[in-house]
Amino acid sequence: MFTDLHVPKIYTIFAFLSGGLLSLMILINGKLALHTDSSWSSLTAHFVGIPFSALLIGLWVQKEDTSRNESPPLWSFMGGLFGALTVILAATTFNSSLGVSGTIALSLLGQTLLSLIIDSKGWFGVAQRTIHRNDIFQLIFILVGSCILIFWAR
Amino acid sequence: MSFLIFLALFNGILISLSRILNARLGLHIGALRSSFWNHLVGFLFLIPVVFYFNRFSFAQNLQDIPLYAWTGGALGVVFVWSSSWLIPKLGLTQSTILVIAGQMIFSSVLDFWIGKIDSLVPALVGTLIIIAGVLLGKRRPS
Repeated sequence: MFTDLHVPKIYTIFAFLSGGLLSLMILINGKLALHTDSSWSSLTAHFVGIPFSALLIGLWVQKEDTSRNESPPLWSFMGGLFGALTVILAATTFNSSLGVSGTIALSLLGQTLLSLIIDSKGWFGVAQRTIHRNDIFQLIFILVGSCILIFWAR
Repeated sequence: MSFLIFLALFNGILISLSRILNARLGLHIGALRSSFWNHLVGFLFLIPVVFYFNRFSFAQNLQDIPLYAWTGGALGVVFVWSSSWLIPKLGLTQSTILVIAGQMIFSSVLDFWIGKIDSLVPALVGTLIIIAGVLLGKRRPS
């Protein structure tokens, strides 16, 4: 186990900004879903992503950080499957009594709980990290703040 | 109802799983290539799903869709790329905290800008609490 007290701030900033990117992506894919439906929107987004990522791979000359030299395990290719599955699942609960708000709030909870477990146990061989009390406090703040925004601001 | 609650929780579980798997793949082949595979595998999986739901009927009215609606895929590539790159550096928990914070704050600012915020005080309170949560990360106990 190792602690990560000295993570360069730039990574924190990038992660925060990527959240903004994500919400923009959800907005745009959501607009497409209104014109079509959510499965078609997701199909299109993934479809566009294939040549776009291939283009970036061709253009990106800098060697990326890779710490593992052996072949990737087959299960590590399944990220795309679960990602696509979440869109289908979300469409189901969005249109139920749970609604968009309930879906998002519970989804955030599921995400944060599993991330704690995965990190502390080091599952999937990415890294094992001690969970500090501070992390729990952070999560509580994020979840409480998010719920206020989701349920009371709109 | 409790089944719906489970489905929504499971949604979040799938999101975290997807991100950590892509991160692991990124450790082997680089985060950008991982993003490529994410999109390819997702696309292949969605083909039968879309066929089941609408039999590709939307392929007929593609010209009605505004051009920017197609850029979501490009943003997704960059997001998955950054996610797979950052998770080994920050850990999944910190990454999740920060992405959620960024997501919520950015979407609230956007909603405010387009006039969708009905109650300003809860919006400000919620935003401040999230910011406080992010800043808590700076004071790491030794």
